[in-house]
Amino acid sequence: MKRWLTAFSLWVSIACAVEVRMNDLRQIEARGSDVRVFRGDATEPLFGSMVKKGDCVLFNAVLPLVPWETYRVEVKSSDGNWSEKRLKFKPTAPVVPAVAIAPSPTVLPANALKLYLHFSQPMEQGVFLERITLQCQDGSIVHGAFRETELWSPDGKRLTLWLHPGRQKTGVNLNTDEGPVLQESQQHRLRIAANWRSTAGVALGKETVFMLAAGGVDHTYPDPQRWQITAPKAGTRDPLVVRFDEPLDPAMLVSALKLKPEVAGAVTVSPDARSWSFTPAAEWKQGAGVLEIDPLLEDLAGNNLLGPFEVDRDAPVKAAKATTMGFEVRG
Amino acid sequence: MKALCLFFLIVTAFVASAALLESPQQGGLQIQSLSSLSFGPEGLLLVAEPASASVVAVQTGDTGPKNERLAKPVADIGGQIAAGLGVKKEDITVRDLAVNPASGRIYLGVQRRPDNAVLIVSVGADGKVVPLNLGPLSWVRITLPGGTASKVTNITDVAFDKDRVFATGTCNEEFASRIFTIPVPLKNGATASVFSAETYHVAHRKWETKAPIQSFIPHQSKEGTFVVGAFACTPVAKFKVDDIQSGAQVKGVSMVELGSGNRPLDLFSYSDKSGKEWLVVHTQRFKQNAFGPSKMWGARISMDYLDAKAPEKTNENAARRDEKEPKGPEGIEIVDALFGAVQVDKLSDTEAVVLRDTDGTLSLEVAALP
Repeated sequence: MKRWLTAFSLWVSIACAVEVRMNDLRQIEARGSDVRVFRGDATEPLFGSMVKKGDCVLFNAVLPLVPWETYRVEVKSSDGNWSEKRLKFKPTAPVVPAVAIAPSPTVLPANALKLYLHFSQPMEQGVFLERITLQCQDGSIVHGAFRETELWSPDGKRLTLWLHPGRQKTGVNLNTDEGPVLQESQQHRLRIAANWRSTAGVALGKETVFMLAAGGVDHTYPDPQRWQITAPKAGTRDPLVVRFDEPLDPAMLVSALKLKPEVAGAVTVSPDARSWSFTPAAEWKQGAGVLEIDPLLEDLAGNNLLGPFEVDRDAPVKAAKATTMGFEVRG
Repeated sequence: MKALCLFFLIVTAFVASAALLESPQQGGLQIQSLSSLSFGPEGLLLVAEPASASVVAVQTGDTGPKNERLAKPVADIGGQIAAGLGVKKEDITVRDLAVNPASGRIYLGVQRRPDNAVLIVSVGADGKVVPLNLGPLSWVRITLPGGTASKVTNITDVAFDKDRVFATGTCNEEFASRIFTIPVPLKNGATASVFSAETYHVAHRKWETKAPIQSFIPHQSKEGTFVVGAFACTPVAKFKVDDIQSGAQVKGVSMVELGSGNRPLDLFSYSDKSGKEWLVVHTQRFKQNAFGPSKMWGARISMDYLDAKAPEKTNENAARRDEKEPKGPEGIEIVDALFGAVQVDKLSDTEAVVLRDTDGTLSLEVAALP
């Protein structure tokens, strides 16, 4: 942020006699008795407060000034005359954001509910429906493809993109009226617009296109009995690896599998979300271990260990019989 | 004497407010994000802060008198707010609107792009937009408990109800819906109770455990305390929340189906001149509306529907709005004043405040309720 401050460029017209600058507290400081700050040619001033300090006035905007914007500063000098200057908030070394998708490659069941977009920078919010387009294999646009609710991670870098549940779920009105979002056995293109900006005001700069391959529908709950666990050897720091029979929710996988007793170490989820591995901080000790699985862990179609996403509440529940996996660390 | 009366009024207000917050923080509040605003009594503002999965309660000090009703419509209020925040008007989103019932003053939660900074502004009788200065105010923040695998990251609505605050939320990982209750007095860092909701979706005739509540109101009836919630697609359901234990699942009863292709945005209730009670559901259609000029619309529903108990009037037998007519069945009808409304809140039993979008320009007005 400080870099921006030092790079705050000042456009001073030659006729101006009053000094205006931005100080280290991000206040606009001017020599005079009054100050008003406007964005560009706006007629209404910025919200903020003004205090007098000696022969200077300080303006504190109620929200931080926005990079790339031009501000018009009107200053009243001690002789009562108003003069005008323009400032442009121009950050140096702007960082261009990039976007990736998870899982990748993006092979989805036709009734997939969600996927994740990972950005390298926190992104502007409130525009995702205008910045993301889904196309069918024939190039036609899938209108109303996404759920309108915008769900970002706390750091603003990960967007959970919900394929509209009303269309993906069998028998719901939108599904009946509009059809599903994804077409079985077809390729789709997810286009991310070039003009999507980071919170620092820097756009992606080029369109990003991800290929989405849709398979058949998946109405089966994830079942650890179908997974493979590979135990490491004692005395090594080799990873404990679990391979799934389908891609699971890559975000949930980060915290859904836990070792009992607890062991310090790091979790890695493969890009295709088909495997999970745990590398301990210290060498493995010989003995038996248990991996506990959160029953809420979902596959890409929203099925979890407690049952399929599309469940008939009047019918017997089909759920995974086990939510733990045992393994043996041997010498 | 006048000064003495004012003194007693202030003391009374302070004593009463003190009961709403316990050991509040003094000053220094910064709101990181904002998804919903709502008022409790005595100017207590509830802010849903999704970035921290929290509800923040702020004593605004705006405790009346009730003389801040907007005198005349404010044209291009979006332009006015955007200028105040130093951006173009297309770079702001009004995330929510709440009317303080104590004063009639209107509060708007605004998000600015690209930096996602948020600000609460208020509009009084004169139509002037004023930023809410959080600096000197008392407040508490309560973080909502997360699921076992992920945290709640979107709080869809928040509301005050006598001795507790309700909030509804969804997760950004698993597809799940939660209702939270926080006891009053609200205490900084307190723990909320959480329960999940099971609802009958009239449209596809199935029970749902995961559909998120988009908006709700607390509702008292002879049967007890309910959360009346609206879901996408669009059933209106009620959940009995008396004596509910944290972690439990509460089974909702679907009362009305407004029709598919709708996303509810706001709910409020009011009594008309005859004393009849209505629930107003403000909604966004995915497609063009059959009966009005905008995808944004609203309907009112007789509260009689919500108080129905008989199985032949609920769940699979719940009343369905006649989507081919502006009215019908009796007690369900479109509210014309809500066409184009992007935000709405009740001002009184005769009026609502409407933030209307006309070709990208936002205006603020008071609209009569039918």
